[in-house]
Amino acid sequence: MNKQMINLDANASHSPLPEVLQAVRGWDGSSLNPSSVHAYGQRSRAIVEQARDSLAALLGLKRHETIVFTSGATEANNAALWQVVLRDGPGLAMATTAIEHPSVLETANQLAHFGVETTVISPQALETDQWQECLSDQTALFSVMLANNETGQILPVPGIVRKARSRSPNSLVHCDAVQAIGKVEVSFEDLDADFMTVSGHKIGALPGIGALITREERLLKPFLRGGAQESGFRAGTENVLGILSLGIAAQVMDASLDDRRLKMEAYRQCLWEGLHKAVDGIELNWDGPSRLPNTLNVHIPGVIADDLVIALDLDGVAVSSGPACSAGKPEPSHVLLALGVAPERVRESVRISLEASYPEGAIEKAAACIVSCIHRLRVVNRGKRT
Amino acid sequence: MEHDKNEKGRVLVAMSGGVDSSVAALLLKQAGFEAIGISLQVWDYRQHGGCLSRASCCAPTDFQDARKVAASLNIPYYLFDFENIFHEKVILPFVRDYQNGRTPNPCIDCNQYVKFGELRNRAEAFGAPVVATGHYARIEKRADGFHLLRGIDDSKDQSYFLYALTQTELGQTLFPVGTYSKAQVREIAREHGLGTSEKPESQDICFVSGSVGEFLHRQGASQRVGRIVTHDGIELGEHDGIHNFTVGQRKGLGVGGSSEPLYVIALDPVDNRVIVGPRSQLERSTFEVDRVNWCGLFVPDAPFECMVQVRYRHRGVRARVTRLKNATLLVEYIEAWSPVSPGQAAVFYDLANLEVLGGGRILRDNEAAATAGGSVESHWD
Repeated sequence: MNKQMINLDANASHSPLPEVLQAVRGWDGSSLNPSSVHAYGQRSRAIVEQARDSLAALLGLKRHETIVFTSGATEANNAALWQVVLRDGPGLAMATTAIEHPSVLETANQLAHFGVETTVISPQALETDQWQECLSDQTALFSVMLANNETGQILPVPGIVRKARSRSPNSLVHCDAVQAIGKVEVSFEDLDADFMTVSGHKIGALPGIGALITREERLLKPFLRGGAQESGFRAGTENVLGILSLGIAAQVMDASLDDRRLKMEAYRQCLWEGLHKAVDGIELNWDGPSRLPNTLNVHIPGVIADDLVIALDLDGVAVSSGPACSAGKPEPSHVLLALGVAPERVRESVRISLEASYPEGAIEKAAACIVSCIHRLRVVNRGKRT
Repeated sequence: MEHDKNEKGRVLVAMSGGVDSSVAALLLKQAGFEAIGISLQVWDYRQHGGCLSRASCCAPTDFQDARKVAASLNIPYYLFDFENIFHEKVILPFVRDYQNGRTPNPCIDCNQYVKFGELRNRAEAFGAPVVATGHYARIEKRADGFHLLRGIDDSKDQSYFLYALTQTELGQTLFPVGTYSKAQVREIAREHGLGTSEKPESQDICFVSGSVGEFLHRQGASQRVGRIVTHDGIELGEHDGIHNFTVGQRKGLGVGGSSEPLYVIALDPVDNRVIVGPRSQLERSTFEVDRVNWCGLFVPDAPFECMVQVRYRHRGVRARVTRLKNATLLVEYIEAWSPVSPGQAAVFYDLANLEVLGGGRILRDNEAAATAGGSVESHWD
């Protein structure tokens, strides 16, 4: 890439960590199938198991939990939700929230074809005392995310899970922890979930690798079939380089989480101040106390978010507005809409999500760039937009 | 945050995925511009027939092609959703025109509002002083202003569709392939491995797959059965909607029994009739034009002679143009005549048949008198 860019879209994808790049580049090019008996296989197996240990350490896992490596968080979320159909559960009902990632919501939609009824709980309902009444003893799975990718909101998952379990003791509980890991402390035990999803490229590992953590082996029925890999839980030759990168990223996160968190908060504060003082009417779309240290979801009146994203890209700053869509035109954020943000406002909202390490002065420069693009767009848009 | 700033500044290039706009982008980059490739999605392909229908543009593969070309040129690429404005400014008038017995030319409205209107808005937003397309036409900057000329390739010249551009717009637009022939453009694409060199041309209207009649029907144009008559009122048959016909049309009339071939002479939206007759009845010596745009350098205040082109595939013939009241024009053929279809554009060229002076919309006979002072939009003359 010729252009110098700054990644303020970490929640979409975090730049690979230098330690990860170094390890991947250090690969000697030998073949990588951990199931082989020979030396290549043994070496690969060692890499995989070491990575597994590193991830277990980061998440505070004890011995009985199982880490199943997958092709990413999307596969892990699919595998978790498919348990409703794959296991002999209490029924074909599940529940989740309206602000989950599409890999949860779309999978729930798909499961409807197999007779699964999904109750989708609004974020407003979650704040009441009676939301759990929508669960029943037929509920086979309840899925709730730990931190939201768009707003940065951290949900009070332990309390939510407690309520869910008291209402549906036979239900499995799944927690998508993708955005929380690497930003805040995440202890699988504290969440009291049966399953948890991890994503590699959100914490600086390679894309195309993730994990499904399960509290007990007996709870998980395999989703992908056709091989005995991952103790029979996930068929397919392991993505050894991906797993290597995930293990390294986990080590780095474990060693430096507090430091990262403080840096992200400082960058966010600096950026927000720069924007707030120079841009009239700019507001946070979500401003609760419990939130990720790195995320700003802002409404900028008089600016179409899609235009701002492009203008900023042309000036070397990467942010996003709504989820990326490879089919063509972007769709508005279902999360903001679920939170009750009016569509016109969603159209004028961008998400800025920070990494933990930027070159000296880069954030200030980015803030100035964002301000200048906003001002230019406001001038152009005044009276011109249909 | 600084990237390679090319000395000529930013240009937004509208890329369709076809060879013309691909080569336009390449030429701009080679000329030292900071080219930014964009595609305009004007039609939700998935909502109108999905995979089976193959409208000739806006298919996902077209965008993929444009994206690939942009990547191979190492220029940024963005996809814009212009569906709403396209629907409002192109599709709706298209349907309305057919229902009113006109044969519209949606490419002209699209150029006006979408390609050059919205594109220019975005260009301003992204700090690009100019926009570019793969049209075969030329703009020459001279001391007195900007001149819009035919492309050098006669068989591909698209200046006819661009008559609505104003001086300001001409000053902010580039047509890089206008000085090349189509064969040269394909060759350039091949030389640079652009991959779209052998792509077939998109024909006809980009948003219509199948017949226009079917399209109109899907858009809700009412099938009003009416009479097919001669000019003196003899009934020859029935039709199922005047929108299925174009003035000058010979085939598909569904009426026989005449010694000479019959043509559609006129469409009457008021009484819902199709008037047919022999070719001689198409002959005319004059017609009227409204919604006139002069490209800015020449605004007539007295009758003048020029070449007039009355459809895309027409060489142009000599005519005298007089300005009437209501800002309509009276066009009188001087030697050869050509049948006209109301709704189509009449474009005026200089006597060398090279430079576009301006153009407008061909009216039905007696329409100018009937719609005196009507609801014509203000950006037209």
